[in-house]
Amino acid sequence: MPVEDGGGPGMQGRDPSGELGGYPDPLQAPAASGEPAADEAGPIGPFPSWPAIYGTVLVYGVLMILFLWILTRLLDPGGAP
Amino acid sequence: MTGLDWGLFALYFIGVISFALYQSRKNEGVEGYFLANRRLPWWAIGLSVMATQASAITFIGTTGQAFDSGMEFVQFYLALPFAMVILCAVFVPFFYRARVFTAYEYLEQRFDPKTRSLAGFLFLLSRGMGAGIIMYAPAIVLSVILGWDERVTILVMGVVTVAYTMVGGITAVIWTDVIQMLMVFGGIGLAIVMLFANLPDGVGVADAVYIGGIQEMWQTVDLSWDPTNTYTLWSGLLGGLFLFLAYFGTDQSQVQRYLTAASLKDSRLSLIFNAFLKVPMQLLILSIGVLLFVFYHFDRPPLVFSPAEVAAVEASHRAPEFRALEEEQARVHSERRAATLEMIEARHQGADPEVWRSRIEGYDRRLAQFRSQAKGMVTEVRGTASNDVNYVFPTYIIQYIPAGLLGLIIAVIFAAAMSSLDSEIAALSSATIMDFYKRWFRPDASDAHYLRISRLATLGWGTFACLVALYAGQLGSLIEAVNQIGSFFYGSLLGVFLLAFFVPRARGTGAFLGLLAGMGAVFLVSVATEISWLYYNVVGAGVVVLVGWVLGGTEREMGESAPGR
Repeated sequence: MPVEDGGGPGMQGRDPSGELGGYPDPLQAPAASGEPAADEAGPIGPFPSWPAIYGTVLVYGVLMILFLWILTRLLDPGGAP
Repeated sequence: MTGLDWGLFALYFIGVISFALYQSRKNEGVEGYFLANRRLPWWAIGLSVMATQASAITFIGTTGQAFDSGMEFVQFYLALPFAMVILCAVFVPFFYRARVFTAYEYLEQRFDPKTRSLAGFLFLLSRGMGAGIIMYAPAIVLSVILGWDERVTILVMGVVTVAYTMVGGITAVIWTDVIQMLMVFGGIGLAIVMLFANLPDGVGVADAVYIGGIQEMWQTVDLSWDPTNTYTLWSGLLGGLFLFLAYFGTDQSQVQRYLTAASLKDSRLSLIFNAFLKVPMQLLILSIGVLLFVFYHFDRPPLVFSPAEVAAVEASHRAPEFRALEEEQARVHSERRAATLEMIEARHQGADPEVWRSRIEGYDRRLAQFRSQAKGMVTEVRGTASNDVNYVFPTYIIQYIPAGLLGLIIAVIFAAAMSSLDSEIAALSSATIMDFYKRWFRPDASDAHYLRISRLATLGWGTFACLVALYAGQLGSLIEAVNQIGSFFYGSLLGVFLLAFFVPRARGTGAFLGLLAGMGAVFLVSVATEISWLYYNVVGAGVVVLVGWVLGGTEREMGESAPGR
């Protein structure tokens, strides 16, 4: 479920009234130095940004499993087909 | 240990302390102490994340485990890349934007103070004791290697770690973790090279791999569906996914690391870095264990590696039986060695090694049975389960690693222990001060006051960890109980954060009661079923989300509004 800035699920923690001990509003948090504001304040959710990097990691995870499965078949004479 | 070994060992300690203090000189105030003023580079954080997770027991226990049962343990880590993507996409942005000091602080923003305090309390309860165990377990083994009293080893490790953590805060912790993790990488590489170099003449890499394969020691993927089996692909992917989400997403010892990044992008990169490197690193560590298994085809290993366990059995009424078992092991080992060398010769000449393979397989099984019988004797005599796996790799390094390199390897084991301990102490200190002291007792004190108290908290937790480690031998059942509580709450804590992120209708009371219900459910599952502990986190998180979702609707009807609404 994508969780968007600006009123989406999961952002109910912001406290414009400041009644929660003066915690800063996450939506109003300033972008840290060197970080594009769009990334800092962009949407939160499974694949809202960085799709190529996330995709690479996911493919890597699958390839790692395949690699180990092949390794198991190749290196264990007892388990070989 | 030669003078060169001691010199390298001393150099490690001096280098780590100097580097930690140099790097932490720019720290300012309590934000500098706990979050390094949010300015650290992603690669340093990434190495620190890895170092925090990889304790000395990872290095010495996992190799021993692979020596006994092969590489199947790596399946436990296969979900890590997938967990990292979820963490980067959801968890990290929430924490980063909330500008919190601790993960539990976010729960107050989203729910209420009681949910934050309960989560923080559970963390302190579990990790406080855990910090002592991080020291105790390797200290026993290192004491055997160094010939030191256990208490001396614990104090050397504890005093140095607490000192640089107390003075330099998280900056010192992360930069020392960088050095320590690089040392661990070097140690892994060195161990593998030495193992190959110590094989007899004429035994090559391909032969070593073939010998390991006879007992299916290289098997890394088990596709069976048995839920009581801890190490299958499915338990690794499902149970491991929830475990890593809980550990990296809700444990302050990890969350604190990526909150120190200069930007959200850097926080994410530090985790992506781990997504790529963690599984290969574990593969290499486990392969050390399998190579030890291969190496001991040519040199006879002890029947039981732990000197204390051997001494206990030899002083008991089982001593004659144990000695007879040792003699039988020597005879079978000698036959296996001869068969292995013949098989290698046959392989080199292009003959079919099948006949020898079957014989060696039979010898392997018998030697494993002898070892299992001997460990059974240890358990009977000592009244506690054998932890002999922790002595397999240390025994090898004492006997076969040459002078100079031995000091380096021992420094690596110390580095692995200290890089986990410093992170735990820093996290315990930050949760104590930010979630309890500042929240409940002194909300309006000066920054200088918080900094002073934070240092005292670090000293306090470090002292507590040392005391737990010093008396761990006498605290056996208490430590076990605390560890069990830890395994009960991890998944439940993840459930609370999943509620916070994904269930808009969830409210504070539902989250609080859900957390308790989740822990109760895990307890029931643990006593009433045989399913693997890796699934406990799935159960805990599921129950919390369900209870929080149901009660969230009730609370809305009763008029309890969400914070900020």
